[in-house]
Amino acid sequence: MTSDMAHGEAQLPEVEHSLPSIGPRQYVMIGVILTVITAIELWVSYSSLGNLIIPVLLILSAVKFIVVVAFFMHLRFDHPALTRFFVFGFVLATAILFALISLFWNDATIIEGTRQETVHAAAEGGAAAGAKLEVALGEFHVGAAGEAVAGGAEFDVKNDGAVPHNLRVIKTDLAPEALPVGGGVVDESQVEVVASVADLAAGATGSATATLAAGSYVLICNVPGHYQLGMYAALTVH
Amino acid sequence: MATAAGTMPAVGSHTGLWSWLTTVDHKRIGTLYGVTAVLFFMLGGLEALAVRTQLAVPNATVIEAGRFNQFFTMHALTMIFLAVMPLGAAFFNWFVPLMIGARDVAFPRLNALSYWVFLGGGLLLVSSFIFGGAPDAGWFAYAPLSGKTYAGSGMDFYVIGLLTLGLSSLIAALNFAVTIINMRAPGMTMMRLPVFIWMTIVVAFLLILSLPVLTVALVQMLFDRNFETNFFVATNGGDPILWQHLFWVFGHPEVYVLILPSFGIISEVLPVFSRKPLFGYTAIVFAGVSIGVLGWAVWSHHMFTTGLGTVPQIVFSASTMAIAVPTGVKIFNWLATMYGGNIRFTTAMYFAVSVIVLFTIGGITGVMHAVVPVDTQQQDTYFIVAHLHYVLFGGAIMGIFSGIYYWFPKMTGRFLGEGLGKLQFWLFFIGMNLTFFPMHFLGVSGMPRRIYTYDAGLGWEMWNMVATIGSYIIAVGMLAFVWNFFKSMRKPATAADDAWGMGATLEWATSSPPPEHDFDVIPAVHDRDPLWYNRDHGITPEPAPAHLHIHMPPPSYYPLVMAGGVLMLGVGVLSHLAVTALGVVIILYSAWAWILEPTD
Amino acid sequence: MAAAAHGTVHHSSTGIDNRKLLMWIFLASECLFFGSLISAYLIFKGASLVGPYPEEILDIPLTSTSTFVLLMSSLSMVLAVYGAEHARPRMMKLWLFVTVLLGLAFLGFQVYEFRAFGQEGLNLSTNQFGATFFVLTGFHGTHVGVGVVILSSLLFGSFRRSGLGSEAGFHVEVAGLYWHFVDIVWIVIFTLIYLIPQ
Repeated sequence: MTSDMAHGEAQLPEVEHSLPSIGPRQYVMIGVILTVITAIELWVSYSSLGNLIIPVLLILSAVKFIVVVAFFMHLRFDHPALTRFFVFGFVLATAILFALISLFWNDATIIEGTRQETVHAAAEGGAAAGAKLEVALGEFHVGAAGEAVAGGAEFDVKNDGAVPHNLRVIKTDLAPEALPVGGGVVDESQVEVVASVADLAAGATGSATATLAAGSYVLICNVPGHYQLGMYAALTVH
Repeated sequence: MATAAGTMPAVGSHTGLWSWLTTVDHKRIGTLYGVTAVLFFMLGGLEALAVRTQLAVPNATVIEAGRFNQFFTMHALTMIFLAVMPLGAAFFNWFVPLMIGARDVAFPRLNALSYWVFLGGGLLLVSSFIFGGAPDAGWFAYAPLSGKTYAGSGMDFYVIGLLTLGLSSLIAALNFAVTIINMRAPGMTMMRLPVFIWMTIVVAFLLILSLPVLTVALVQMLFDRNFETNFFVATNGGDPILWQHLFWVFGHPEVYVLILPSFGIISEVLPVFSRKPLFGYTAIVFAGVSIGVLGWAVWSHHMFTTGLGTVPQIVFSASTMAIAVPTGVKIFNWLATMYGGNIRFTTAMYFAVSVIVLFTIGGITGVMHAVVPVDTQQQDTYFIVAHLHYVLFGGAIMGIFSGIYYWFPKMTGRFLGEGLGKLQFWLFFIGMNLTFFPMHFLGVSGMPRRIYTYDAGLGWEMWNMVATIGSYIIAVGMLAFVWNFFKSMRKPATAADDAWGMGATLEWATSSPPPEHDFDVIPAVHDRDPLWYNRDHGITPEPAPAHLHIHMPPPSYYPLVMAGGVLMLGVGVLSHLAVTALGVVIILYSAWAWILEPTD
Repeated sequence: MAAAAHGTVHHSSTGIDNRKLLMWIFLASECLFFGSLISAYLIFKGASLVGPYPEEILDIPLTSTSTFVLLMSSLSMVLAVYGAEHARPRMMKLWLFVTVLLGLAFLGFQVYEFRAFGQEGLNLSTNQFGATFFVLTGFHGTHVGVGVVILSSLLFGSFRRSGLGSEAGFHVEVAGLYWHFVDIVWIVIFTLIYLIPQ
């Protein structure tokens, strides 16, 4: 940015207004090229290139990006300082995007894993209602079938999460999210706990049995703070 | 400072309330920023006093727990967004054009707009106390505490207030970036810019690039709270940690936004009162720029205890330690500037020297937190509170007061009293050390931050009492400043152009206070310290022509109208959609009128 | 656009006009804005607990058409800039008009798409895909809308007796920078969200 030193001493330089040396014909040509690239992108996305699809698509869209910036936005013909400012912003944005995505990589796979786990548990739990109830714990949700039949029941609990969790089965008519809370946990002295599984380390399993009467139940994890983060699920017993 | 208007040439529309509402003069806008920010500074101070009073003794009942949460949250928001940032903006407005030899900023009306939007956003945020309670989830508003389950309407004021203030800062930052890049006097190359101006442009780019990230995070919070999305709601697949990441991607550059103006100010004050050129100009400039760049790569050090994983912890720990290097470069250059100098101990110099000492303490505790196991112990304890106040009070506020004492004669034509000034300095210096140093002990002995009270017998009573006494001493120091201000403003304006008799930079080449057009003749610059160069080479400035034909941009009320529209957008989100619609109409109308308004 | 202080309109330290410099630095800022929105979308990719999932609902042929429309609006915009800079007001007005129409067409496609998704049960609160998708494309659409307003006012202004004044080319060029930026953001969104499969 010191390139303007030379004409500094006398007067500030006049604002340049040099026009880019390309005209409508070239602009239309560029428009055609951009359209063709878009068509290729479409074809690639439907093609069977397998692992190559993502890199190829990224390269093609980068080409379009650069062509629009360089020619339609005249950056190729303009003062280099403008390129520097814009590229700095763009590179910073891209770097932060990559940093954030890699920071979240693990979390994302955990979330995706439990989505299938939950569905799975729901299916099995429904089939074996009245006997066995599978419960999957994770950050921060309780996955279990929503319904069961009255009678003896065994809760098979698995901690699919990354931190310790436990399980409390509470018989209550309160809404699942409205249990009495004190000091970060659900106050167990104010509700009827019918079954519980002590803290399970990540990956560990445990079980508890209970006799369920018809009515509303709530399954929660009562590790401090976890209930407030959403670790509860309703269970209706018929 | 409003009475400074009396010293302006009394021409038609240049006096009275209307002239202040419609002004586009960078000096008057700077004054508006400064006065508003000092008032907000005192409000934030009162909030801090309430917090400290509650904590003075165990199990106190001065303010109840909910109110306490509102007070510490609003204390942080007020000090950061309504006091320190706009005080920086006040100096940018006043001195960027004067120090680079320009007649005004690049976009005078946008400049006015940024002030009025700031005022609207600030009042909106503070008004939350009246309308259903202030924000109470801490200034970084972690989800899920800030979500609709746990926080009331105060957090909506937080979102709208910060979006509005962010818009104001973005407009101002764009304006100053363009002004510094494009409006320099002939001969004022980038490497001849005063260090204060360099720090301004670094701050401007930090804001330009970090505010959009905050905007996105705030919009997501707004949607979570009002439109049933689940960005930060873990139950439905969201992730509260995403808020923390986005917030700190903004939040860490923001820390440098707060501290760099102060670094710039003392880089001007130290050489002048040491009567020596700044030692290592190039090193200081590049250190400032590298702090600005590295500041983007350290945000997760605020989040070590969220379980980032080993590799991210190592990366962010290393980058955080690396940032100590350019900071150390600055400290040593300032010391070398004073070394062997013919030092004149004015109040401004007292404040400047204290910044070096206090910021070093805050900087060292900062590097301690780069070590993950240490950070894990200190996270959310009073040790952090001690650290950040040494940086923000010892670094930013002390530097800003150095600037106020240094430039007051230029801004008003009057000196602030040195006796009262030194009294204020000692009250501030002793008060802040009494308040914040014991917090190191409290933190290490386990006192968590943000608790509204504590039991006796934990070993915290004495230091809490000491800290509270210290905070009252700071308050007395502030009263000394207010008294000093009014006392000085009653005197006639007698300061010479070069008020201290040894100014190096261009603002000292024009009258005190400067005329509306700043310079009769735009000065030519031959050196980093242009006035010293002219003195040593016997160059006398060009005499002003007998008839000045300088047209300054005329006053305009459209910035005020448009800011009103922006405010209505925000108020509408908080109340009724119709208000938002009206806001849009006002913005469109004022934008159209703005474009067609003649500017010659 | 605000005009610069008098006496500095035609002079600057770098030779770049203040307003153009402002626009380019603003666009750098916008990169961070859309970068953050796209980050949120990618982070929550695969985090939806219930459907509709993106692969079930995104309509590639429809969006390809709207992408083509926006791309062509960039072409018409650059032709309008050419007309303005070469003192050919009729050419400028014609292509400005076409650009506005194409921008409105793109917005029409977006409204249609949003409505269709709503009928299939996807809204802001359905799942993470819904939240991130609507906020990201919604903000892009808002930018297109603002662009349409800017270009319409230029078009409207050009019919005044004095036209757009002596700096017509300049105004249209700076507005064009904004318009093209909105287009390149869409280039990125189209690839990352629509074309790249699960």
